Amino acid sequence: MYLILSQPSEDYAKAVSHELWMLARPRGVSDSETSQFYCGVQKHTDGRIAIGPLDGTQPVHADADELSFGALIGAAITEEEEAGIVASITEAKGGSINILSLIEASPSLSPNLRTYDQLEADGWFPTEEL
Amino acid sequence: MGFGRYRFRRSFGNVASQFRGARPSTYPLFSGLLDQYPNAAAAYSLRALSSGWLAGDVVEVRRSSDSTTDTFTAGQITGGQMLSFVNNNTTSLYNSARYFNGTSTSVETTGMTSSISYFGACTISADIVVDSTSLTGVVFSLGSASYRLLKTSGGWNIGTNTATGVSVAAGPQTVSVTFDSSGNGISFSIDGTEVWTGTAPGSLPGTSFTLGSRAGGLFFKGSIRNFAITGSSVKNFAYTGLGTSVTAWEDTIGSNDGTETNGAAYTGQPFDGFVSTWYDQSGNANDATQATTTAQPKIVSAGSLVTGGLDFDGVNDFFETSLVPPNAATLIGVANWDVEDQTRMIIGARDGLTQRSYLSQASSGQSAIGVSSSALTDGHIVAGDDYLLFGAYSGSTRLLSTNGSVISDSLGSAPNNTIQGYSVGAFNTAGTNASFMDGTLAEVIVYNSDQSSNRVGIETNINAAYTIY
Repeated sequence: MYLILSQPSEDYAKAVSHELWMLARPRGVSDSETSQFYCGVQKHTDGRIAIGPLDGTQPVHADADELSFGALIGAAITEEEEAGIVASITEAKGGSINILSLIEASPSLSPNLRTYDQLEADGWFPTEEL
Repeated sequence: MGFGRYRFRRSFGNVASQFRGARPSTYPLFSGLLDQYPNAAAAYSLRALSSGWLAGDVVEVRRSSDSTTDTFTAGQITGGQMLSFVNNNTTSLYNSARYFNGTSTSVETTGMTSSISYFGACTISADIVVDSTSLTGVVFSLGSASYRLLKTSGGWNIGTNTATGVSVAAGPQTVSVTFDSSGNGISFSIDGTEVWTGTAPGSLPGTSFTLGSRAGGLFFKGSIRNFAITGSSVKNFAYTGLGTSVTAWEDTIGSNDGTETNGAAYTGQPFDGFVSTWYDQSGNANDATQATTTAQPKIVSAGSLVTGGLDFDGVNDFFETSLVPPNAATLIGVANWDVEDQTRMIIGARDGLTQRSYLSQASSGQSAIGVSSSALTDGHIVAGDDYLLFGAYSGSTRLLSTNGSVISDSLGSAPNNTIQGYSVGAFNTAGTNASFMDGTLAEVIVYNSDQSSNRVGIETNINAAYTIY
């Protein structure tokens, strides 16, 4: 599944993907590693931005900064939703979390979820005929 | 003078010798592709391409179990150290332990009591391999939720579902739970260290004891062996968990043999490894990197080293580089495609419609080198076959060799790229990647010069390494 962002900014999308990855490998742990993003960033020619794929679970490090992640996405969701997401991440520290389930549980975000096939049909993945 | 010493002196003075030093079998004189044909702009491989890179890292690998990373030399890949890292040092268990697949594997036996209402004090222990920190799975359970140990995404739980607060770590470990005479879990140890004490009640005991599941659900993914129940007032039984589906579960204490369903030999099935950096061996530090975890090609799949190099999924896997296509270049790739008649890149970059440089399978299913606004295409690619493509262009000529079969034509114009760097396994079209590789890449080399005069020598070296044709 992919999530179309309400804020059509590639930098913002990268920041969300980066903060999602920081839940698993926070700063100080992943500083010397290449991996820095949980998922990819997809641009539509009309300017829309999506992140994904978001399927599967990922570990949540004991030192994960859930408040930083919550603040980053706070503008797109309600205060109650932000509190719920932060609480879920806090509870998952030392274990793992399903990012897609978090998004599906948020009424503000879930309507913007799309499958790969839906995005492809909507022209998100143009290919050049060589 | 002994024979060995004589050989040493003769070897030492012979410039054509393939040996150096006094122990020729231990110190063969290595000469790699880049020793013979130097000055590459970028070179990616899982083998060392020069003597100077024998001790150099060729990849940075991220393992799926806990996302930790490490770097490895070519020797550490062929020597098994990389595989051990990804598989959490469980390769010694391959084909001896049993694998629980997480969806349907269990071992059923009779319980440790003769009565459904009888509780007894005991300790239950096992050596296990945990797939990851996610997924819920039962290691053992009497009936549905008594004398039970289960892993959840939130940590280890005991009994009906008492959370210990102890995080689950992926990989091999020894777990041990002590129960009191009322069936309460009272102590939990990992690798001999007590990590929890408390009271974790169970439900009413059953007469059926299960490893790897409970009541046909919550299946465990990984391996369970050296299982034992010991206690003065319960039936004691133990299994090695090693060998066949029958011998693994023969009771080594009494006659309480277990019956395995849907098990398999353990070969590291829970673990995958992904490459986050494919290091440039040319010395120019044009490392190919992929910071997005979901776009990293695979080097270990289900516990086994991927055959044929790195596996690109054809959906979004690729590496970025900062190497902008030169106007005279040689592009070399060792590839094996999973698909035919589709544009699938070995390497490519595009600033604009007339500013392109790539080596690929084209939509026609042919091998292709693309320069500027056109492509030179040749042999038809067959999915599952290995290919060595050698493409070169400079001045007014363009050449493509497919497994040693050469064609050439006139080059209309140089690509004149100035902005976008090559992507490995994709076509970097003005910053957006497409035409993703679907299959494996074992080696990708770029020269910023026309190496067609060295083509036969380069192809011979590569073909000797991979036996492609």
